Amino acid sequence: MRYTASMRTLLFLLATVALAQPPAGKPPLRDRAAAGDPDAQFTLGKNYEAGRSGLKKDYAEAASWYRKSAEQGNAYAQASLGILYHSGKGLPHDDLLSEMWFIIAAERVDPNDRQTIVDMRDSVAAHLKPEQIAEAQRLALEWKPKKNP
Amino acid sequence: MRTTRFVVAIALGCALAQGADWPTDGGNPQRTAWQKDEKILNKDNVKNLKIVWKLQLDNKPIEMHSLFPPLIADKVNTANGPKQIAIVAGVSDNIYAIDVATAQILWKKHFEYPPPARRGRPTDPLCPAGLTATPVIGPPNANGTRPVYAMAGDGEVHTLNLADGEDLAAPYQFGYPFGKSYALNFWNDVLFTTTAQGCAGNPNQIWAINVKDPAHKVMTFHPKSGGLWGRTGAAIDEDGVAWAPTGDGRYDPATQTYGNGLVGAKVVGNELKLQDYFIPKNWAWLQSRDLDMQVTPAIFKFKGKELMVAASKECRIYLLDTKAAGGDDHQTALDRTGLICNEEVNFASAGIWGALASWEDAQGTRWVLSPFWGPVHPDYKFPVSHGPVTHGAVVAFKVEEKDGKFKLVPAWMSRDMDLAEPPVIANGVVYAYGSGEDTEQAYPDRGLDDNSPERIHDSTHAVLYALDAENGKELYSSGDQIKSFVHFGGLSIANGRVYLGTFDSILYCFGLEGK
Repeated sequence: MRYTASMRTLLFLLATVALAQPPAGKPPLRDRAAAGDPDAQFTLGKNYEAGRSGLKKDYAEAASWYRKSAEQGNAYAQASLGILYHSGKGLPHDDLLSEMWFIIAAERVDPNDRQTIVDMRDSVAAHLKPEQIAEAQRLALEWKPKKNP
Repeated sequence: MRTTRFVVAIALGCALAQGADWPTDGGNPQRTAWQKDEKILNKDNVKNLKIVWKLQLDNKPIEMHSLFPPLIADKVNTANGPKQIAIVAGVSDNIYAIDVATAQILWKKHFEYPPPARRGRPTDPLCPAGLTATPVIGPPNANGTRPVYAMAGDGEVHTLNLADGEDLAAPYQFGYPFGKSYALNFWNDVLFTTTAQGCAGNPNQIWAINVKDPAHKVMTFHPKSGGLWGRTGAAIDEDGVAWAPTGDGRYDPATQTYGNGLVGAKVVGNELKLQDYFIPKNWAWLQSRDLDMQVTPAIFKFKGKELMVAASKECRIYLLDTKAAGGDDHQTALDRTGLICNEEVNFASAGIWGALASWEDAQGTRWVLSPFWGPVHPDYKFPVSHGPVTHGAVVAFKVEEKDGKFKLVPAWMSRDMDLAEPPVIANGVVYAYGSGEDTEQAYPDRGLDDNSPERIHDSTHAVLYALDAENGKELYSSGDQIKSFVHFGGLSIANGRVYLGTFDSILYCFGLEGK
């Protein structure tokens, strides 16, 4: 029994280490994220949200990395931030900010993905008063991408 | 035989003269899960459903897997006269043939082979080291003998006589050892399977082999995706095209990469060739959030066309034409629903999983059924529902056509079920079950740690439901009579009996007393 548990732990650690290895010639994901790569920041956020690639499941960390990526203009990270604001996981529940990020993402995402984001944007809007939607739109309009915030 | 058997109640006066079969996972090659020939169970009497018998089999569960969906064949000529037989495969390389009338094991086959060089990680629920493909019963040959095609864990296909379990042919290699092949399908002498999760180094692809080919050439089509893990393998259309979802991955037609979609491949000569495919326009979003297309489609006729439905963890259903899936750009469905569930965009415990289903009622209305996990999406409304849904449910749609446009129109949503699994339909009744399995793959204190012992410990028990197929109203619930959960099992129905195998290797047979 102990042997099985130890083997399991060992294999899990080996798999974790293997998964964490970057492709040859590419810095580790965390280094790239820390250096400001918005795609790496999004992936790191997703890994925290899902609790994989050796990371603990941590919605607050996920939100933090999504925000860094979103602020630079990554539409998937913007939508993911919208999801977390709406669910209240890792962030205080805030449908106005959720709506703002979905509006921003819908404007920037690939046209093939736009309808998906629009559906989520409209779903959150159903929970808001007209003046709150107007405020979310105003905030989205004022939003500007920042280089490696 | 070391099988421990206990029969709770033997069927009284079991009727053997019905003649309906369930020869393959999902009921037929099209995977509609519709038993057209049911004449015993109906909306009026299904409330009297009870456990007619339950049988403890000596199959040893591996990881979370145990028994796969039973196959049923009626009027099988055995040495002791015609019998209705259930064929049940167990993950530890067992095939059981059970006399449905008496719950007696008629024969058992255990496949032995040298341990393959590679296997999945111990405790990994994704890659059990054993038999994983539901077998298939082929049509009778000239002297009435019916073959059972079963793939052992080492990837060899065994051809067994349904009547007595004897080998009808020498085994031959088809799949990859411990490669986790999915349910076998059979069409015009060709066996099909699919693989996923790269178990033991297995490539993720569609596989085909002609059982009459003396060379037993293995034909494959590789979509370069994350895995073709529709629960009941591939569904086959009227032209022999095997359709399978491709799981997570990229879409790049220039490099023949077809992730996050549905591919259709057909045997041409002695090769398996891509015929058509469908990739949702938002495939990149699906990939970014791990919402892969991974549900076996259901294929059916409607107003002179052959249509199919497909789905993903994102939790929407696509209606497609098998002759032009996705249209000219391969990305435009005839119709797609809104998000039915998974508002939180959860990759592990929400969305549509498993397989879809379809049936046609006496008025000619074509229905589509889907299970889903997790809460219903607050914005998606069904005209008829049966209380709050937080753990999962079965939903029904009507297929409609107006001015040449095809639509999926929401009809009803069932009661809440603890992880609703693929339903089956017979005689106006939908049979569904909540699996009761724990699906958690990641934990706040450890991150990803998808391990069988913990998931087994945290699983509860399955519950079988019978629903009115017109409105989803609950007609029967097994309550807490089933004692264990179900992972990768499934329902079968024929001749007044509903079957479900559970993790503890008990096969349950539900029916009516005296029928």
